[in-house]
Amino acid sequence: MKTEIYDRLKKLHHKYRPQEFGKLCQKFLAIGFRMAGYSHVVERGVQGVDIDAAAEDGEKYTIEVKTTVKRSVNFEQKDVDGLQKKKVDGYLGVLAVLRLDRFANWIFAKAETIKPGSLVIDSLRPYRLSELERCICPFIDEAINQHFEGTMREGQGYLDNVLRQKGIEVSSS
Amino acid sequence: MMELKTLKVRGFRAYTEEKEFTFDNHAIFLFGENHRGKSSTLNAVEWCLFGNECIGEKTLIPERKYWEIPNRNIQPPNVLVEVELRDKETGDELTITRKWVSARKDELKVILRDGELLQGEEAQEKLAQLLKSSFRDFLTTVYQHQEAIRAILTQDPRERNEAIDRLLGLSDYRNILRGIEMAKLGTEQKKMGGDFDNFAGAIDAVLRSRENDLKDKRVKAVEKGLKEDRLCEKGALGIASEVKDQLLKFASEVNLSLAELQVPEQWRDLNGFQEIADGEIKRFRSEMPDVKKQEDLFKRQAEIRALKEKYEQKENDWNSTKTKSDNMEKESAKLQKEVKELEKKITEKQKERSEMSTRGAVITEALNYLRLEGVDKNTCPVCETEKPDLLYELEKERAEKYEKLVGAIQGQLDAFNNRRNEINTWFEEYDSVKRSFEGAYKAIGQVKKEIGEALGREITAEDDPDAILSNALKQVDKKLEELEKAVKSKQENLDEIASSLGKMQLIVDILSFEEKKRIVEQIQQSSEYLRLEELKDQMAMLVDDIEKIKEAISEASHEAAEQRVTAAGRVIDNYFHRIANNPSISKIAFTLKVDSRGLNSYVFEDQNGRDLTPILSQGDLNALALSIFLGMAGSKETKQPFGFIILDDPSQSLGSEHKEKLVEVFDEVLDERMVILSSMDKELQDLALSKITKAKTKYVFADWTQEQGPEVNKE
Repeated sequence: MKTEIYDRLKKLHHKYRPQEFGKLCQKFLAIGFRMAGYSHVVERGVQGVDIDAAAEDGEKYTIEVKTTVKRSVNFEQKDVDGLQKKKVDGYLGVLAVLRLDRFANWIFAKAETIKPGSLVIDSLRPYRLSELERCICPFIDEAINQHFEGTMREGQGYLDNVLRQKGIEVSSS
Repeated sequence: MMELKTLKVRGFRAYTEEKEFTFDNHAIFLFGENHRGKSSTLNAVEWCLFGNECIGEKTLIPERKYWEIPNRNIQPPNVLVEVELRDKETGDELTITRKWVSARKDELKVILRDGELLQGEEAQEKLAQLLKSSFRDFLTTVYQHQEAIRAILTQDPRERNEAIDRLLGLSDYRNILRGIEMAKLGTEQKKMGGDFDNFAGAIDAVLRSRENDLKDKRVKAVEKGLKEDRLCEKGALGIASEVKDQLLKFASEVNLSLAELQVPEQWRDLNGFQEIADGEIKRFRSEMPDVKKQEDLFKRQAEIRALKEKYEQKENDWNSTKTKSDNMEKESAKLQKEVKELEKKITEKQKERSEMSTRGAVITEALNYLRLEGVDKNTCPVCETEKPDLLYELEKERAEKYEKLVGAIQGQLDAFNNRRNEINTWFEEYDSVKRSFEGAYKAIGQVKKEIGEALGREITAEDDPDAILSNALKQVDKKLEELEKAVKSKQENLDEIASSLGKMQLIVDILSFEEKKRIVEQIQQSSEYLRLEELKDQMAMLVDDIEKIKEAISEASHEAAEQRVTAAGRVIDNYFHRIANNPSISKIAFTLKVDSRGLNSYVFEDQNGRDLTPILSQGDLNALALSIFLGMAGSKETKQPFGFIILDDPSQSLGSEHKEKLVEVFDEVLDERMVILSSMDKELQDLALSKITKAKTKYVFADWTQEQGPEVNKE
């Protein structure tokens, strides 16, 4: 993670509570997918899988987002079930994890082989979708740089507007 | 499966001379009283196969802790054990010879069926390959040692499960699973992550502290009037350029040269620029002409002040000595007159005293005469006048008139002399004052000369040096005042340039910190970091793969155990019923579970599903242990490399009925394995000989002597 991005995320984490910080990261991730060219992106603030992203060429991801400052995350059965439901529509389940750390990066892991429970983030490495990480992460950084000030000022509401402006379906209640 | 064919023993524990045993039947009996060498015979087989593995604390057999291999009666030790094995299926034969060298070393030789001789490590490797067992496996599955077999039932579940896995021939699975567990890959992975976190934490701490410094520097930069857009390389280099121009202008104004000062192309080189510029500012401050002039004037000022002070001092000295001298001069005439008078008085008084002395001498002479014997005391020897009490009267007259008068004259003389001395002292002082006065006069002349030299003019008697010096001082002060204004203005000019340099340094500090942050970013782009990431990925994949392997092994182990437990369970139940004949236990259920670590876990329960071990007597426990051991040995499902079992005194705690049943079970086991039975129990010996239906070889250990060792007879 670039230090500039880390500094900005740290400021957001400091200002907002962890749960809200997680939501902000989820929205940045959705914007990142949109900026990377995924034509259909859905961001769910409340229920269901956090993000769906589909490209014109048929590439489809359904993404459960986890953010933490620790070295592990809780991947629950309900998360597995949510991802599983989308499988029938051709979506590949992804567990997207961000550890807020100077040397950490987003990890996108293929969720179907991951057992629910408390997961050490490093244990997700064998299931990484490295190509997808390489494709999306620069756009997430860009989204953070572009919308940092607004997010610091207005939080989720600001990012929801950005999502809508970018044609991302936002389901917040 | 390997069966025993022959055994040769020499110098091993109870053995001295070499003895040979042939295992030519399936039932081999080693009978005899205690201390005849039976156990040494069985131990010789173990030692030949496993060497030092079967010695010491690690065997978990208490008496093996300090076990000695060589017989103490043979010096030097001469230990050799040779075992011949035969593969039951192929008929291949194998000869193993182990010779004792020291407590830590022995020599192993293996001769294969084709006659190939292997020695040392090669022999060791081959033997391990052929036996496929550790000593612990052998102890559990082949050699029914009392402690080891009872451990199956009474020790903690972990050890019991391990022992039963061995009995079932599942050691490999368990060892692999234990090995994976002991490798603690997950812990290592966490440690790896933790180590990196510590590294990252240390960097983060440094950056956080620098970040605070940076904030301070940004605040200072704003306070010093720097705008945000100048806090960059361009801004810093721009200031450097301005500083250079200002210094050049200044140097020109003060007519000094400027050292070579190049504005660098990169902000990183600005430290060198700043060093030179700082040095030049310091130099200008001290070397600009006005400052030099100022310094000269200060020196001049100090010099004039010193002369003025000196002159005033000398003048004061001259004035004070002059006053004193004048006053004394006036006094001296009066004192000279007084001296003359005094001298006259002294002469008179001296004369008077002399006269008085002459008269006194006459009186003294007369008195001396009158005091002589025979002299008329009343007639004056001088005038011959007769006077009564003349001596008395003369003495009285001398005391009252003459001595008193002479004393008075002397007193006056002393007073005159004292006064004259005082006046003489005064005149000495007067002379001294006159000399001082002359000295002061000369000193003033000297100072005037110095003043003249300092001011470059002659000081004549008409001049007032003090006034001349005051005027000169005023002129210097005036010049200094004029110079101070000029110097102050130039110093302020230099202060401004120094302040610009300070601003430039602030920007350099900010840029330097930002660069440090970028370096941290570059860490993530470095090949070392990428390699670390790769390693973390590989480690995670390894942990994941190993976990899958562990699951597969656990499953395979469980399946194999399931088959063998199913097969052996019935046999164990059958054997236990027959040996123990305990009416309260109608059924033994030998079941298998898998524990949380994926290892096999075995349970022996009664007909009501309760754990059996807590309710069994010592005899029953022994019977159960023997049932498990023999049940496994007898089961075709257990994959053991050895085609024989060794029972060393198995009838401990068993009653007559138990023993009879045990022998019946032996008879059945003999269908599958060779049984080597060692016993001192006469009852068991008789039962074995009479009840076992298979061909038997009996070795009787009749006696034992220190020199000969065991006396063994084959029957």
